[in-house]
Parts: sequence; structure tokens; C-alpha cells
Amino acid sequence: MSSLFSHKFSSIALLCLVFGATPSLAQERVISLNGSLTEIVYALKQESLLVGVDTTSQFPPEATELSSVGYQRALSAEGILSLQPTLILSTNHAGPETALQQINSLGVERITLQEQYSIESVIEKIQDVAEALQQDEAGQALAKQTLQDFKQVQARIPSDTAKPRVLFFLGTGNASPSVAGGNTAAAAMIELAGGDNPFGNQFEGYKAVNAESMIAAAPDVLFVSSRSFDSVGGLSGVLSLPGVAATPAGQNKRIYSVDTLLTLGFGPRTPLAIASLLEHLYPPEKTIAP
Amino acid sequence: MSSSAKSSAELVQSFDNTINFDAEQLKFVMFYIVLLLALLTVLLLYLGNGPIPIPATQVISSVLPFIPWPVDWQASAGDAAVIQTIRLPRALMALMVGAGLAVSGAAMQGLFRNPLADPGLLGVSGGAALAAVAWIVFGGSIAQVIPLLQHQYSLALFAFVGSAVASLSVFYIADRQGSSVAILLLTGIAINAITGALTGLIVYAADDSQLRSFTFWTMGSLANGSWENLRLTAPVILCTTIICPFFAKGLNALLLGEAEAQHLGFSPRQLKIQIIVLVSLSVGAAVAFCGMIGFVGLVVPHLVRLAIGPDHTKLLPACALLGGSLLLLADLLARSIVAPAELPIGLLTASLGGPFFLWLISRQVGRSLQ
Repeated sequence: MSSLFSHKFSSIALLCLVFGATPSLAQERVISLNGSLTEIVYALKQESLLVGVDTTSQFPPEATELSSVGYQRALSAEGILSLQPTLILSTNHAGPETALQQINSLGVERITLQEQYSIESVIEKIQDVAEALQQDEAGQALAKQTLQDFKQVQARIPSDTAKPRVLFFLGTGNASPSVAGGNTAAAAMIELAGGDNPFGNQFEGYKAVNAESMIAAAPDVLFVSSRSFDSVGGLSGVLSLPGVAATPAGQNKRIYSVDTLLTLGFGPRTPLAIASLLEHLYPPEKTIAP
Repeated sequence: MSSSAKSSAELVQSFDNTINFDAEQLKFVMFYIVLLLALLTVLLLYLGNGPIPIPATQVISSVLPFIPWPVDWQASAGDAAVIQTIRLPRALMALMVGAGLAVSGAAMQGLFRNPLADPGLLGVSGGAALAAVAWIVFGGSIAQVIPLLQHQYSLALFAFVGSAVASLSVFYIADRQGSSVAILLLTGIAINAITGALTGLIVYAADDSQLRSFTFWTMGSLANGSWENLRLTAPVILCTTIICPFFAKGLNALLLGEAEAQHLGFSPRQLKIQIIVLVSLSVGAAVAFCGMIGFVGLVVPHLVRLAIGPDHTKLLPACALLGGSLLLLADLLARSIVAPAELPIGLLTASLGGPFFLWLISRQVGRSLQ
């Protein structure tokens, strides 16, 4: 591969010299095809290697200033190759298969990581990305830190009280909010933060839920994606959605706006996200002090 | 003496005819030459442009590597590979699919004697969409039961079978009610409504990533244009596109009406079966591999008819040339505008074709009012 674009590489090396950056022979050009992987690259302080990201890479905000290769399931082989990558970080969501095969056939190294909604998956992603970037030490440190933060947060969940019932609203279109069921990032986060999702066993994915089912589910706490929270006009807007005011969450006004990038990202910031959900689920006097 | 005068008059008459015939013929030949030149121009533009800049000389030497080109014309191994494994097969896919969609559209408009007809009326795209979403949502579970289906072509296979089942059931149901084209049209609308509802039902069960996959599928893409996929689709789409013009005379007769076509010695029912099978095979294969690419089948035949009239023997081959060129041009834009990402091509064909179609309609209305 290095012979492929060698003339372009030498000009990049020259640029590095001119601008006083430390030129290294093995200067990787990395494309990340998933938001959580981009976050990990930044957390490993290797963002200078990134030459392109997909549209799910929204954090940190600087990542959005990089070249966008489009949505991770609708990639363009030539578009990606035009960035002259030497390494592509992807998850099992990347596609279409033909584009990936064409990229592979031209000899660009690509690693594929399995995405799951668990802390183990986060640790695994950190380790694999670090290994691919030859940052094993920093990777081990970040993985260790993330796991430690996670355990610390989990230890704060009180074991003697009943789990609060929690719903997560992703959108509020058509007045019937789309609520997280099983097998979603939101459901996994609710569970990790010590909550119980009443719809977890009833359906998978996000479904529109009507007023009666909402009342029957009797949530103690509602989390609403910040975009929807703002678009309906904040707390009063959410309370005016059919059924919401009659639920325990509505009566006690335990309705909170959450940052979806942070909460549903499953990256190095996941322990932080769990901690912020936990604060809303259990009153401070009940949580076990960190 | 009188007989000789008559024969010379006949001679003049026939000479006039030849001149007229030649002038008419010349017009068609010119039109075809223009279309061919346009196609070649677009093809060169397509191969020479893209997110990776490659000089024209190196493009030419990569496309025809067996000719001993001067050394400075030769592309680096990487650039040559980009042309040979990415751009060239994709260009051929665009040409073939564009030609197939346009010819199918023209054949459908002829069959239905309706300028608004397109292959979608047969349920081809509706059936393909239903099967595609079924695979996207339930494919994982189906493949667990039948490991043989754990394959990258399963989605295309499903979509193809879906389109075939939908179009053949449209024909089968309509045929039992007599062979009227109106019944065929209405049955198509009903089948489309059913597949639409079922698609909605499955979409409702889909999760976020499945939903996005399906949304992108409906917007079409030529990203599947690789040599392997060409090998699978070319036999179907090329054959049907080449065979279609052989039914041109029948379609011409049908323009006069079904009874009239019968009197001229064409069986409308047989013609219907032949055209429907050809169109559903061709469009089914195109939709299966490239998703939904709208407006090519609708607009291209109109464009050609404006230029050379409704004679199907000349219309169908011209549609193939123009359809191929237009889809190639659209895909050139699709992969360049937002590089290094790419736009779904269905968005481009619809957003360029829509306004053009409106202009066409307003022109027609203006004419009929005069």
C-alpha cells in the first residue's frame, strides 16, 4: 500500500517537516467508521492520525470538522480511497459489502469490531483500537480507567431499594413518543444505571407507545432525548404528551433531558453517562457515596 | 407511348419516395450518432473524474492495458486498480441498468398505451421493496435456520424473487379477469397497495439500524457495481434489453388499440405476457442490486419520443442509449458532489427528473390548448 501513494506520502512528510511536527515513517492515515471508535481515537490522543470519519462521529465536536465519508452503511469505495487511508476502523455496521471488498482488494488494512451494548464491548473496542494504532500502553491505561470508573459508578447503585421503572423517549413525533424497548442502547443504559425498563421484554427497538400503555407502564422516571425535549418546549411540553402527566414520573416531575451522543454512544464516556443517569434514578441520600 | 409515360411517372414517384425515405432515415441515423457520441463523452467523463484525481491519459491506459502506451501515460498500480476494479465495473453497471430501466419504461408505456406507465405499475419495485425489508429485518433469524442463506447476495436474491412474485401475481390475477389493459393497471395498483402496507408493517418492527439500511436501499445506489455483481446481473438485464426491441412491431400495433392489434395479426395477450416477463426480469434484477432508481424509466422514453416520434422499432434502442448515458451522468454526480461520501443516486434521478417532467407536462398542456 505504501508504494501506492508514495509520491503523495513524501509530500505529506515534507509538510510535516515544514510545520515542525515530528515526522514518523509509519505515519498512519486513519478513517473511523463509527462514532464510538472516533471517541476512542480522541481519548487515546491519536486524533492527528484521523483523515476521515463517518456521520455518526459527532463527538468530540472537532471530529465533525474532518472529511465525512457519509453514513457507515452507505460508504463509497472510491471516496474512502481518495483520502489515502492506511487503516480503517469499522464495526459490524459498516457497508455495503461490495464497497468494503473493493477497499480490501486494494490492500488497505481494515479492522472490524463487534458493537454490543455492554461495558465489556467498550473495553474490547478500546483495546482493539489501541492495538491497531500501536498504542497498547495508552490503551491498557484507558481500558483500566474506564473499567474502574464503571465499577465505581455501579457500586453506587443501592441494593436494598426496589429498582425504579424508567422509560426512554427517543422522539416525540405525532404525539405518540417513540419509546425504547429491548435490545436498544437506551435499554442497556437504563439497566446499567440500576433502572428497570417496563417495555424491555415487550418489544424490541423503538416503538410508538400510546397514552394507555404509558400509564399502564407506570414509569417513575422519564428520560427524553435532548433534541425531543427541546423541540416540544421542555418539561411542560413533555408533560402535555398524552398519558405522561398521569404517570408517577409526570406527577413528581421526574422528567429529564439527556444527551443522546453521550448516553447512547457506548464509548469511553459511558461510565460518566451512567453516573448522570444514576443521579436522576436515585435521590442523592440513597446512593452509596463514591 | 402512354405506357412509357406512366412508367416514367412511376419512376419519378418512387424516386421521390426514396429521397423522402432517405431524409427520414438520415434523421434517425443522425439522432443515433448524437446519442452514441453523448454516451462516449459521458463514459470518458465518468472514468476520468471522481474523488481520486487521475489524469485522462492514465485513465485511457488503465482501461485498455493491453495496448503499449507511452511510459508517461501509464498509471501507478494503485490508480490503475481504482479504474479497473471500481470505476469501470460501476460505469458498466450504470450503463446497463440505465438502459434496462429506460427500455422497460418505454415498453410499459407502449403496453399500457399510457405515458405515465412505468415498471412500478406491475408491482416490480413494490414487491422488491417488501422482500428487501423482510430480509433486512428478519434475514438474521432466517439465516440461522437456513445457513445457506447467510450470504452477501441474499438481499438481492430476496428482492429479485419479491419483484418476480409481485409482477407475476399482478399478471395472473388480471389475466383471469380477461386481458384488458385497464384491469392489469388496476390490479397493479391493488398489489402495490398491499406490498406497501406489508412493507410498512415490517418497517414498524424494524430497529433503528435496519430502518436506516432500508431507507438507503429505497434511495438506490450503484455502489454494488463490481465485476462479480455485473457477472450476475448482466445476463438478465442485457438479454432482456436486447430482446425487448424485437417486440417493437407488436407494441406499435397495440398503439392502435387491442382489437386493431389483433386484426393486424398480433395477439395482445401473448404480447402482454412477453413484455411483462421481460420487464419484470430486467427491472427486478436492477432493483435487486441497485435499489430503487426512479424517473429513468418514466422520463427517458418521453425525451426520445419528443425527438423521433413514437415508433417503437426506433424508440426502444434509442431509449437504451439515452437511459444508459443519463444514469451514468447521474452517478458521476452522485459520487462527486459530496465526496468522499456519496449521494444515493435515486435522489439525484428524482430531483433532476421531477422538475424536467413538470416542464414536459406544462409544455404538453400548452400544446393541447393551442
